[in-house]
Amino acid sequence: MKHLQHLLKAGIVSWLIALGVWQIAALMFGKPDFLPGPLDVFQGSRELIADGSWLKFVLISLRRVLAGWLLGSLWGVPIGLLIGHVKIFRQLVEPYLNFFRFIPSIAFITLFVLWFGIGEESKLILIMYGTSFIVILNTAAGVLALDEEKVRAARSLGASETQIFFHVIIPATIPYIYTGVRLAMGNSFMAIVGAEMIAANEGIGYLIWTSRLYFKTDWVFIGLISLGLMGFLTDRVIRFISAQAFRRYGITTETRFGGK
Amino acid sequence: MSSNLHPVNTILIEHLAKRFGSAGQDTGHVLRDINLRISGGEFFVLLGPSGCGKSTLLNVIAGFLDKTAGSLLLNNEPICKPGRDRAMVFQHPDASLFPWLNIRENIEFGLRMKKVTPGERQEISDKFIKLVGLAGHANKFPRELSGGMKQRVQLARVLANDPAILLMDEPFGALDAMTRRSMQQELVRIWTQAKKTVVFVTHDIQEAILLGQRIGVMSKAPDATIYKLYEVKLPYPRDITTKEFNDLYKKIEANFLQEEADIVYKEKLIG
Ligand SMILES: Nc1ncnc2c1ncn2[C@@H]1O[C@H](COP(=O)(O)OP(=O)(O)O)[C@@H](O)[C@H]1O
Ligand SMILES: [Mg+2]
Repeated sequence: MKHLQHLLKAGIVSWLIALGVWQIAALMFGKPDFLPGPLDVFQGSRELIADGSWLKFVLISLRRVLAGWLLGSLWGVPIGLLIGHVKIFRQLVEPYLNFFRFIPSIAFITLFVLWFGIGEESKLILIMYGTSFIVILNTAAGVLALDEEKVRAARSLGASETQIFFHVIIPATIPYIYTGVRLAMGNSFMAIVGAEMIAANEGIGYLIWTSRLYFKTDWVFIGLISLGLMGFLTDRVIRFISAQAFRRYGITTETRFGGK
Repeated sequence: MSSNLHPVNTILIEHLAKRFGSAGQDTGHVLRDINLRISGGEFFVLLGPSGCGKSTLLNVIAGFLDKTAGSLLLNNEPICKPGRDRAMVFQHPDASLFPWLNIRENIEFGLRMKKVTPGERQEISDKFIKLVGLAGHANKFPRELSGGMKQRVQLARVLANDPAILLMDEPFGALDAMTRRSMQQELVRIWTQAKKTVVFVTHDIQEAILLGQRIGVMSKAPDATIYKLYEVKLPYPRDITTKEFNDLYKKIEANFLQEEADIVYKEKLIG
């Protein structure tokens, strides 16, 4: 019983059930080109891994995601702090935010390819757009959620306005920034897959798109599984590093569904 | 206790009024015509029902809110913004403590802002951690402490910064009866040692008599004012079971009931 509880907690039971259901469904259909089972996919993956293209595509997509995400976060955080802290700036920028938040990054692909070419720049900028947006919104919301009492306490303890910004506002906002960058990672994957499907010769999105054209349905599944694993692992890494570096800000590895 | 009183650090309030909202809107005054003189070293209690404007008055004294009219002086200088000389112990410690700092770092916050050296900071925080009875908890974080202990941290945090005046806004209101009683006793002990002016807000008559040298009773907002002052001559630490304590309690309570009755009567006349 205790054993089962451990396996459940680690998600092993869930995945065994999923694999079982999937295999049964594939056998019932009996058409691997339409619905390949786990065993078919495993066969297909050996080919793809052996010639090195799988690892290459994973690394290419991962590099694009990480670079865009990092750059987007780096400039999203200060802008979010500014929007939350400076009222005039917030009033100035809020109309843009409320307009652009309804335009997903994928919608910009054609335009960015036209402007920045088919190379890496357009993909990087696309991910930066998606990332910075969500980081800006979460950071600004964090500043606005700050208890007025903390600022008042700091002020009557003799803190200057600059000191309040660095010693109260930024630390109090860190949990919100953390939520923002984690959500942004999910969005970055969405954006890169879209971009690679439409305008790339490499990467996991490209793999999924072209495999479909050649009826290599098992490779489509490999692409999907790779995305899930890449997302899962990067999120784990972010959570682990943040929990080490920002424990005192109330960040732990015990978080579910990307929320706080 | 009168030996505690100094002519310095005296708060002088004359015809003070406070209205929320801009001048154009006629939202009515929360406070009107407050007159008060609180001497240096005095323990003054502001007593009144919830929503009567006690926090508003305290926040004006702290400099967090601007007054609408009247004068507010500390050592003959007008108060217009928050300052190191006036420290606030807030009602809700979770809203006012810094959760990312441990207990020692919270207590050292004011000193760090003043760029006091780490060695000196440690010496001062050690002293106040002991004074408020938090020895052994210095490295914990606020979320690991009980409500009463968090209020001790707030108290130590302001004392470490050595303000002249302590403003306390119902700091023990959320504590259970036992914890509240021991915190009240400790506050009296700390006040007699630290010789600070204290302005303590409460809606609890017993707490007011237990703590204050003088009690100012506030009427309800709108147009709240301090309409009665009581001098409490009982020696510290005070005993709630004595006849004198009880007599004063009854007197103040009767006063509240009379005020209620007056309001009902006035409303009947108008309505
Ligand atoms: N920021 C504010 N804006 C408008 N009205 C306020 C504000 N703060 C307090 N008030 C009003 O002032 C009155 C007194 O509030 P407060 O000083 O908090 O009372 P107390 O501390 O005695 O419970 C209340 O009627 C409240 O609604
Ligand atoms: Mg209040």
